[in-house]
Order: sequence, then structure tokens, then C-alpha cells
Amino acid sequence: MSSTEQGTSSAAPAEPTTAPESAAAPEVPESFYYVHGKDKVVHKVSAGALQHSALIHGMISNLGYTEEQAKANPFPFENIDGDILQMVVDWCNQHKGKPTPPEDTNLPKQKEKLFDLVLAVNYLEIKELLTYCCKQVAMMVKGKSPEEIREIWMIPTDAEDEAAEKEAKKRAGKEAAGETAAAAGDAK
Amino acid sequence: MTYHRFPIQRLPDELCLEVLKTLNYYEMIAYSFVSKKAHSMIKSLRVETLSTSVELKKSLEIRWTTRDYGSTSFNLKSLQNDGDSDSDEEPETEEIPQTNKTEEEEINTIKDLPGRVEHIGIVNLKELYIQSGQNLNFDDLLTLNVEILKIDDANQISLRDLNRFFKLWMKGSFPNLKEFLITKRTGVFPDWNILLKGLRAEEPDAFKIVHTRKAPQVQVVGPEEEPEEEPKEDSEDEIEESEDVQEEEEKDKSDAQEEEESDKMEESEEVIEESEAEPEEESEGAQEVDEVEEEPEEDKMEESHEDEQEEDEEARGEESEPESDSEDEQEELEDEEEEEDEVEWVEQPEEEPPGPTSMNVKIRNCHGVCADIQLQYISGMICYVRFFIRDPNETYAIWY
Repeated sequence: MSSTEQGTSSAAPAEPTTAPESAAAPEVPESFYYVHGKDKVVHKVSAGALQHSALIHGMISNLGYTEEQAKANPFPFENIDGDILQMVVDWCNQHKGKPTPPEDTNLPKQKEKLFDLVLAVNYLEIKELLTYCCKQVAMMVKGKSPEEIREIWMIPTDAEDEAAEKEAKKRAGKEAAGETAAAAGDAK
Repeated sequence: MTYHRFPIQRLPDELCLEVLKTLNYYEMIAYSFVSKKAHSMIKSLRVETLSTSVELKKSLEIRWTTRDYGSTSFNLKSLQNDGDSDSDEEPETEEIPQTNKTEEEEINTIKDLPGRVEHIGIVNLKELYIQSGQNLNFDDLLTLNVEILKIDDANQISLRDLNRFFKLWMKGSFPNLKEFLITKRTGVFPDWNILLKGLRAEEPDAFKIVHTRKAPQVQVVGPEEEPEEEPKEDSEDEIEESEDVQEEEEKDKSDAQEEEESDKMEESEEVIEESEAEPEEESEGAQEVDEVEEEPEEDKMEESHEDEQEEDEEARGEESEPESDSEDEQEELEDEEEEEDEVEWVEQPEEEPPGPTSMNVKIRNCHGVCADIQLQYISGMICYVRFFIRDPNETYAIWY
């Protein structure tokens, strides 16, 4: 959190007089918002950085928060891990107000967290970062054979797919039977 | 070697597709082989494809040319686990140029590729090109279900086999076959009679073909040939009867042919008799169509030679028709089943040393579909048999 605040506070004084984004955010341009993830750690992000996220941008526009309200009510993203949210916030701060270069070297290098990152970015609707994440995922299988791709992307074989489908059908059948039985019991 | 794992199929479908879109085409092909689900996802990307070809040598190679990226080659050597890899006992090379089918269908075809040729052919391909068909036998030929079939070096398939093949086609087999080109090397000048025996083939230039608007059947208006209501393999009685009629008619015709342009006159008269309103120009138009269909893909040098020779042979053939026919009937028993034009065509090369020769005949199947057979013998001991099926609708469009 502290690093995020430092990053944003250093960038914030550059735009106090101009108010180019007043239409997008009801507050003054240098205003800050707060978000927190599953770990409840609150991250402070400038409005300019949050422009990347269509979801948060829409929330700000619709809710019309003042800075005090925003501080008191940070945006909750319970489905995103704290460290993932931290990565996203960092990226947004680094790319505040400038277009994403085609080769973005600032993407988190931890490949283990790439899956959660993709989901989080998709949820937050950060289009540019999502494109880059997808590229990262695609690069994982560059030049690989089908078997290697199966291993890397954890793709089940056809037999496993069929077995899973059968199980899902069975489960659905049982649930349907259970529902009808419950409905019949209620009727009695 | 261990890799970082990424469970891509646990992503939402739209996200998964986003990732797949960013793949290079090489990886797209590789991914499509991983599982059926993976294959269907690649299909759903609908990548625009110009052409796809599969080459089966010691390793199986796919060449995929897309609209934007140019050509991508993919080697399937690593597909041992899927059982799709070729084996050493299968030396054929198949090339499946893609014309109208989409890339998705083609990849599906590739996935289904087993080791044997007949299994490749039965999947209803648009085009199959077997470059080295030495091991291809007649039974293999029967199993192929393709629209355009090209076989080079089909040395195991004899002319007699091809004769059987054409007879089967006339009976209605191979409904999808539109074009068939087979080449083989031969040490001797081939006896076209073996190929054309019992086919009731017509020489196209000597006949007028009239298409009726209502009925899809083709009627032949000419002095020699009965209307082909009986396209099946003929019984001998019928043939003898028809040949008697034909002989008489041919004599008349030969007299008439001595006069220039008499052929056209006859045709036009008979067309009127057949109550089919058809101007004289149509006969020329029909011949033009034949030429257009028969000529492509040949070397220009060969074509020019062959064309000249064809014309010469035709001219000579018309003049010497009755004599050669009578001689042949005395000498050869098989002539009873053969058309006199064909006999004449075989005799022609005996008079001259075997060089580039060719002949064109027409056959048609029980559904009235007409096919042009082009037979060529080039001095390099290559024997070509081309077999084009004429689309009746297309012919209507040209003629009317």
C-alpha cells in the first residue's frame, strides 16, 4: 500500500490546475480513490490511473463519490487477492495517462500468478493489460508440440473430457431429481 | 522438463479465445491437435485461409497459408501419441490443396489421417493428389470419395482396371467425382481399346450433343450413336444391333463428310428433327467447351503438338473411316463391342511411330451425366487419362 501511495503522490502534483478529467470523475483531477482486495489491504490510486479500468471508471462515474466518501468506502474487490490487486494497481499507476507500448516490460514476472492476474484484469476490464496478459499466456507455448502444450496448459485428453461430461450429466440428473422431490414434498 | 502450468480451460470461454487469438499460427495448429475441444475452439476463431496442404512423406507436414500471414509449415512428427503419424511402410505423398473448404474442415481432415490411402480418400475430400501412386491398386481406387482426384505414376492400375472404373462410374458409382486425372508410365504404346472396351464412348467432334431443357438427360444426335438411354454396360445383342445400324449410318455419314461442313449441316438438320431448337453456333460452342475443359494443366509444348496431331488425326480419321472399320471387324473379335471410331484411333499410331498422341471420347452415366475422357500418350512413355465430368447445369448456362 505504501509503495502505491508513494508512486501516485509523486505523480499527482503535476496536474492540479488543469481539470481535463472533470467530466469523467466528479472530483478534482488529482483526487484519489481507494480499493481493497480479499486481504482488506487498502490501495490508494489516483483517478488518472483508474481510467484504465472500465469497471472502476464506471463505478466512479455512476456513484459520484467525493474524496471523503471514497476514503471512507474503498471499492471492495473480494474476489481478487491482495497481491494481484497490488500488481494491477502498480501497472495502472505506471501507465497513467499514456498509451501502453506494444512490448510492456512492466508486467509482473511471476508466472504462477498469471492465471489469477488474467481473471482479475478481465474482471476489472483493463483492456490493454488483458491483451498483454493474453500474449504472455500465448508465449508460454511458443514453439511447443501438442503434447507439451497439453502439459503446460493442463488440457485434459478427450477421454478425460468425456468422463467429466458424463459426471456432470449425472450430477445434473441427480440435482434435478432432488429438486423435483423437494418440490413434491413442499406441495404435500 | 517442467513448465509453469496455466490451466487455460478454466478461464472463461471468451478469455480463452482471447488467448488463442494471440497465438501464432504454428501454435494454433499444434493446439488443435491436443484434444477435440481444443480443435473446436481453434475452429471457432475462423481464421481466413487461402490454402492448406498436407504432405505425407517420412513425416507429415502441414502447410497452411492464411490471408494475412503467409505460409506456416507444421511438422507432425511428434504426433506419435495420437496414432496419426505415418509409418515407413507408407511411401505415398498426398497433397490436398484446399479450394473451397474452410481451414477448419481441412484440419479436421488432417486429424483423421491414418496411414492408409483409402482412409484418406473416404473422408469426402475436395481434392486429392497422390503424387506417387505406385502402390495404389484398383481396390484403393474404388474406395476414394473425392471430387477431384489426381494420381501420378499409377503403374499398378492397368487400362483394364480403368475400364472397369469407368464402367462403374457409368452405372452410377462415384457420384462426387468431377475430375479424374491419372498418369502412368508405360513401355509400349497403350491399346486404347482395352480402356474403352464396352464403354460406348463417342468421339466428341463427330457428334452433336443436345441437352434438353426439361430432362437432365443428354441426347446424342449423330449418325452413329443411339441415344444413350442405355448407359449401362451393354449386352452384346444390343451392341450388335446398334452397330449394324451404325455401320449403315456411318456409310451415309462418310459420304456426307466428304463434303466440307457437311457434318454441321447434318447436325443442324437432325437437331431440328429432334425438335430441339438449336442454332448452328451451338455446335461450335460445345466444342469450345470441350477444349477448355480438356486443356488445362498441360505443358504448352505438349499441347501444341497434340493439338496439331489431333486435328490431323481427326481429318484423316473421317476420310478413312469405313475401310478401317471393316478391316478391324475381320481381324479382331473384340471389335464387336467397340465403336469404330476407337478402332481407328488405335490404328493411327501404328502408321506413324508413337509420338504424342491423344484422343477424346465421351461417356455418360446412368444419370445422364456426361464425361469427357481425354487420352494422351506422350513420347516420354507417359500415358495420361483425364476424365472430366461435365456439369449439365453449367452447359445449359453456356448454350442458352
